[in-house]
Amino acid sequence: MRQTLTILKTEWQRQLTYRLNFIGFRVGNLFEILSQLVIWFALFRSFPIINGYTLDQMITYVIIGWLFSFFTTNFGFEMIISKQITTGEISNFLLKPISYIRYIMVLSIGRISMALISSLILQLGFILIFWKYLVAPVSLSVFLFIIPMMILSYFINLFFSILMGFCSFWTTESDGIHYAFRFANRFLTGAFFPISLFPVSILNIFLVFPFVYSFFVPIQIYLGKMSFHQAWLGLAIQCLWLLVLYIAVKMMWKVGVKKKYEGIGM
Amino acid sequence: MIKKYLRIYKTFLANALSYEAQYRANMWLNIILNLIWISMLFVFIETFFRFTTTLGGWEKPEVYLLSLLWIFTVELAAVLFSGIFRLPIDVNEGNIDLLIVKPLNSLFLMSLRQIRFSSSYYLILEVPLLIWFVIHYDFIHSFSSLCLALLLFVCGLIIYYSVLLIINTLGFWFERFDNINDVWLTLHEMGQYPLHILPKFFKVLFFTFAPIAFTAYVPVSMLKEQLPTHLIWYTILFTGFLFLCAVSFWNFAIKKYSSASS
Repeated sequence: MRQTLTILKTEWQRQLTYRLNFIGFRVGNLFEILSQLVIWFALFRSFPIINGYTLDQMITYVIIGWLFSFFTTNFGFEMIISKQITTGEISNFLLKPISYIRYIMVLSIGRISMALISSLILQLGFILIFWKYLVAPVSLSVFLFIIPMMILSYFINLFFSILMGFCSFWTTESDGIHYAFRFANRFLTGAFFPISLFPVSILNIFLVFPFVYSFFVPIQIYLGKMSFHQAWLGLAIQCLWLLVLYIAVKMMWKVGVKKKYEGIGM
Repeated sequence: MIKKYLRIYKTFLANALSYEAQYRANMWLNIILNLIWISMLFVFIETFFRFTTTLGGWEKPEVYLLSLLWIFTVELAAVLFSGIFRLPIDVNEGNIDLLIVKPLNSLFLMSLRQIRFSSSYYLILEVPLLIWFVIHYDFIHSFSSLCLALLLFVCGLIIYYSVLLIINTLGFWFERFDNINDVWLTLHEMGQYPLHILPKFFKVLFFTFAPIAFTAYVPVSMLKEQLPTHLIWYTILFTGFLFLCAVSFWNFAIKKYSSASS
């Protein structure tokens, strides 16, 4: 427990040391959300309903959806892992009485907890400005599905990031992989636009992947566009993915450290 | 003098090429990624236009051209001026000392030292597509409008460079300021949509303090419909003014700089 608290405290201190850099992330998010809102407002000027969405529902989709996605993101954690492998920094962890994967998980909680506070403030601003457009959840019971979905999504995203980071055991230049992953992730979550705008057959394929459960599915449940039966199915798919990814992380770490890692720079 | 700088640039090019050749897996991945990105752009625009025929008065081919030109400019800037993004980190770690003590123009060295070939694959894929769009949808009304659009495109590139230089030069005063590039790049993404859809406040902002309108919107507007003469002159004058400001700011920062580590 003391180990965990020390890691958390160090990460919080680090983030607060570079406050401007930290605020920079949030300002970037602000423009991202704003640009989506502007486009939807422009489109809804000509049409009262787009693919079953009213303007209010779409604004809720963007603002509340982004809020959900802030809970599940780990803000480019793969880059940190990748850097630690390529610079040889990871060798320190091989000698320390703490598992690297556990360290990464605690560190990520430290990172997200700080980022989350600033994200919530930002999103609160959006909620206040666009209050009159926001749609209330169909019932409070939706959060019984949304909260576990968020938690599972957080760990799924984290495991994906760890896997992406571990690619650096095999290639020292992995920017392309990281960028591809981030872009695909953003697209598949439905953060660009509701993926229900696609034909049903494509939507069904997306539902098999875990990405949609951090943005699209929770907001669909919130808006009452998805049944509780589908939500249960979603949770089951997430659990399966979590298990698969956990095994993959363990295996990749084992193979990476034992067969590929050379401790560059040490 | 120019010969010397060309020779140095050639060395930068050779270095960048040999770096790229070392990481062939990453290179192939970048090519695939660029293909996916272009496909996503098509999916994105096609999805929007399933529900509307115009976006802020712009038709589908015009929105395509706008988005393609926007990406082209951003990627071209990434190929040419990648070094600039590293400036805040270099200042923070004291690496900038190595640049300013060299018998060369420090701005040239800082801006052009790193050529990112990975972004050039995108250009190779996109140039034929851009040309096809311009010819197929008959965007060239006259030779003069094409020349003016090209001139405005160059102005847009210079403005983009100038903004990057100004914001990264702030790194001399603020520690760990590298995120500022993410902020600018995210704001800049709004430049791939027709600015007609924006409220007036944003339109004014994007033609002045956050000049994202010049990257693609102005050149494409020139091809779409003849731009009013005053807007063409404004773009040219604004480019000169901003570039001058950026260079002066850089010189001022270098004068005030006291090394971090050496």
